[in-house]
Amino acid sequence: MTKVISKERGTHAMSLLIEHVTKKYKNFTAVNDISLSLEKGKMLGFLGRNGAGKTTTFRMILGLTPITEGTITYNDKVIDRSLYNRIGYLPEERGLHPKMKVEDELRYLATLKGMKSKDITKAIDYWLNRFNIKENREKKIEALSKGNQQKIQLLASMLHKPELLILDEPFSGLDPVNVELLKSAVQDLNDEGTTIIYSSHRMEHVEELCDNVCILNKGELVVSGPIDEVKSNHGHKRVVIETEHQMPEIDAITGVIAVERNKREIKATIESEMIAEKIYDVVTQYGFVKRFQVVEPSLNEIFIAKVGDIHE
Amino acid sequence: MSKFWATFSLTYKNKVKAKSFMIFTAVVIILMLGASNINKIIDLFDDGPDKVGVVSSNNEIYKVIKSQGNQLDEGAKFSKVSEKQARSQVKSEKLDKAYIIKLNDNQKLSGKILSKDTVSEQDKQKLKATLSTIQTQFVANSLDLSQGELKQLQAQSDVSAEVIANNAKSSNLSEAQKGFNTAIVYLGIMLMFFIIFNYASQVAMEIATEKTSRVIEMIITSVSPVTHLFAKMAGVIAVALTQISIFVVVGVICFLTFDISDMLQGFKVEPNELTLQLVVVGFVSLIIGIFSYIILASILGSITSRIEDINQALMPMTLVSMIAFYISLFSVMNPDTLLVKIVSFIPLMSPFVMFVRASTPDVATWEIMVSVALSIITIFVLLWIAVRSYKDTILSFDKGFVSSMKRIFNKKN
Repeated sequence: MTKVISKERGTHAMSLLIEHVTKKYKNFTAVNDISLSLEKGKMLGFLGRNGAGKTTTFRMILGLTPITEGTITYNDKVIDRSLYNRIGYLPEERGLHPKMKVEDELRYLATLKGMKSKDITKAIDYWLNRFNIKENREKKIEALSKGNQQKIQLLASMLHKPELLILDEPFSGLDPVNVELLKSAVQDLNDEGTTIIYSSHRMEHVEELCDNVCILNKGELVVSGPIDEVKSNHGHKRVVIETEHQMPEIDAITGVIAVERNKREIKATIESEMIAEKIYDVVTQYGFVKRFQVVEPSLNEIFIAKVGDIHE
Repeated sequence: MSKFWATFSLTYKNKVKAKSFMIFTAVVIILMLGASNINKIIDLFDDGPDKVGVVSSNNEIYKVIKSQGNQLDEGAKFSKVSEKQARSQVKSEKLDKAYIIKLNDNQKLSGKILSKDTVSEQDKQKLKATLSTIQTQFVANSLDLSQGELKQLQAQSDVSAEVIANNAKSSNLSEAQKGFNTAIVYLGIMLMFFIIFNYASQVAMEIATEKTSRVIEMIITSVSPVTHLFAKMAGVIAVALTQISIFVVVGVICFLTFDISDMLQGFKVEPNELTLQLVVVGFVSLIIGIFSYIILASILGSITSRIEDINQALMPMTLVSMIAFYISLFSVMNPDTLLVKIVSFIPLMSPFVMFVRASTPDVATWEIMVSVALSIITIFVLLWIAVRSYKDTILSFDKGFVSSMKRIFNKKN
């Protein structure tokens, strides 16, 4: 598996480059001037509310939707049909040929990706086994449960070991066991060198799996970059102090935005890490505390801060 | 190319393996076998010549009826019975029917037919004619007319018809020859309609299913939409051609195995010099019809946004094909009207209607050529629209026919 991909690996570090891309429909700008880049073998999480422009961006990357302005290149090439055999795509809307048998469907879609019949058989054997759906091989798609249909569709998008895999909400609507199963498959693929972009509503999945993250809001790119960087650049960190004292002095420190207190903890939201030191000075005057911790914001917090609303 | 074959062979295999394909093919084959043996089948249900009882007080009348029996009821056996016997035997089906003939004082004959089934007007007319002859004979006898004088009296004026046709290749077909052509046209139109409509709907259905189930998004990120569309259409066309080939093969086998010409004579129809023209035009029409309707259906299928709307989307196609079908069906007996002439040049309708016209000597070869040429041009225009519409609407879920059509034609990028 690894061999095939590493052979085709180019020398360019940046495999996907999106530059100033805008998509306008008549009176509506779906995507407004977004730029991003993704290195080979990295995984990018695409976050955004419904209608933020995620699917439109994916379709533009794949060349399904014409770009109004800007350019998208993959290995310095505009993506066209010659690259399709090396790309996998799982659309957001789930659907396969309902009347077809699982094996026939996988075989057909893999053939369309230029895979050889022998390799297809091997890959189907392996993946159906791994996803615990061997017994469904001869069943019609419409006879499968929603979760199993989704597994088949994910398989269809990655059976040919793509170099670039775009997954539009791959884990939505699955039970936790299946989410873990699919996550591990995606993780493995990434470990073997596949560059993956995927959108999700589940922040913890993105935090767990992805190297990079970007957040779209109403067509605008509000956050983009490696997750660690995004977190440390996001100004508002928090200091958590586990203590029984009230420490009212903290409120007076400039740079402290808000303080929350309960019986055991004080949580202070601060503008930057510098402020944490000033708080520490105050804390030391009180002597022993059980915990003093500077907490990085979670993606969820960043998301809410940037997008404004509580996400579903 | 292998991507083309993947879709092509998938479509072909699925369709040929489908139950609907097998059942339809089997039904038509059975009908063909039946039709080639129809005379034998009719014989099977025919319980031999009729037995007819004749009730008459006059022995002479009975003799005349018996002697003219073949005109009244071909091959029937006549026997003289009393009215009471006649009624009971007809009731018990010992007799198929009975004639009760009475002679009144004015030498006037009246007849009554007893039967368990409905008596046809034809049978009544036949008996009436026979009785009239007998009556004339009686009157002639009573007037002492000789046979010669009687003949003179009965002589009828001659009326004949001559058809003056317009073009050179006109030929006068006998009723039997016309009958043969009519039969071919009726069967041909129905078969054509079913095949074309069946496969056109299937293409529309396939495309709409892929679109509405969104699997199309995975497909067109693997293969160009145009290749996919062509492979799909070619697959269905290949299925249609397979089916037609099966019919042709079965037809040829029937022709060689069974005594068709004997049967045709039995029905008083015969092949003629127009039969070849008819068969060729029919075949070309069928192929043109399949192509144009399948392409039209793929356009309509690709603009459907929900699978439930497919019938609505196919409405334009249904309407056009229905109009063509009924015009041709009602014109088989009289294909020489202005309406038929005009419609036989209108693409999408012409395959049906030109086929009907080809059964008469009145259609010129150039007319057929022009009609075919117009249809072929239409096929290419439709194909162009299909490619545009497929690429453009397959990812859009606009509601309604008009807005989809606007998209196709106002496409800017």
